[in-house]
Amino acid sequence: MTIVNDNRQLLYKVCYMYATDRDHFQDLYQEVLANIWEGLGSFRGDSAVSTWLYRTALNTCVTFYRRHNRHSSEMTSLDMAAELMADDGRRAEQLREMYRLISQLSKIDKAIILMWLDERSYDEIAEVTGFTRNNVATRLRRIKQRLVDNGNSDN
Amino acid sequence: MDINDIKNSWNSMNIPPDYRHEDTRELLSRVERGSVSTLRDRLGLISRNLSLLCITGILIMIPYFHDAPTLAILADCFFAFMGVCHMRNYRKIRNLNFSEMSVRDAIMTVGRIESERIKLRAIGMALGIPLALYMCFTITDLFGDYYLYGCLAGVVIGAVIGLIVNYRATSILRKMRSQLSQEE
Repeated sequence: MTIVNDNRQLLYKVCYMYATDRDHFQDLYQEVLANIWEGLGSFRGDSAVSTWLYRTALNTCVTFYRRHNRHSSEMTSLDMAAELMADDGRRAEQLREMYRLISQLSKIDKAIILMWLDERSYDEIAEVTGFTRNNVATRLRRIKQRLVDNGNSDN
Repeated sequence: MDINDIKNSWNSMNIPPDYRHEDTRELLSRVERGSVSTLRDRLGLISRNLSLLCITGILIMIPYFHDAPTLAILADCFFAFMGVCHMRNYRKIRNLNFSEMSVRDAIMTVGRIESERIKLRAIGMALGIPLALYMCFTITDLFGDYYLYGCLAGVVIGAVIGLIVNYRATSILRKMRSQLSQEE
């Protein structure tokens, strides 16, 4: 699965964004890999590999649930990610805050903001989510406003 | 809070953390061996098993065609109808392809599958309960009280198995839908 190794960051970021703890993350990541493996045969190369991976990973994450809700006493993956991925304290704090705000969004809004954060074009976001380009732009504007408002009201 | 600052931080993050590499390698090899099943596979398996159960029901009723033809015909029609509906559900679940559909389509398709399952359950109960009662009375009439007890035991066991299977499938779909309903 070279495709997975080459795009590991993308898949990890999607799963981290939807996971609530380490177990959830592992379940999600496994499900995403299994769906990629199943869908590989039908990939015709009509879109970029990253778009195809985004579509598969996001669809898996928004429709996934855990049969048993295992409440982990560990740090949430979001905190963990912030600790592990940021190389300085200020940035870790900033990322933790971002995760907290994004976790309040609905699943589809999360998908849109996630792709925007990853600097995907509006057309690509529209292709993956199934909304029109204009609809994506409107939703993004609202999401960003909501993130800023929530961030400001909490501080 | 500056959203563009956050965007820059997000893009400069180095994922994944190193300690995950070993897990990923093992997971990849399991996926490649086909030993990892997806949620779609599990839901599909439930629908397929219910279809097989209906075929078994049809076969079980065949010996009764001689002694109780009306009962056998009604029961076989019921099992055939339910079997076809479950098979259709199975095909719909198998046709779910998360690699090809948009996020919006995935949400709507999952919602539709759940709605149809709820309708199918209602139809199954509306037809199945009177049929089960009719079956009990007919068999008692034909073969005596001992058969009634056997029949009732069968109904109870069948109902318990049916409820467990149904609970599993419904909880899977309901949780999926509850997460998605706000998007519809």
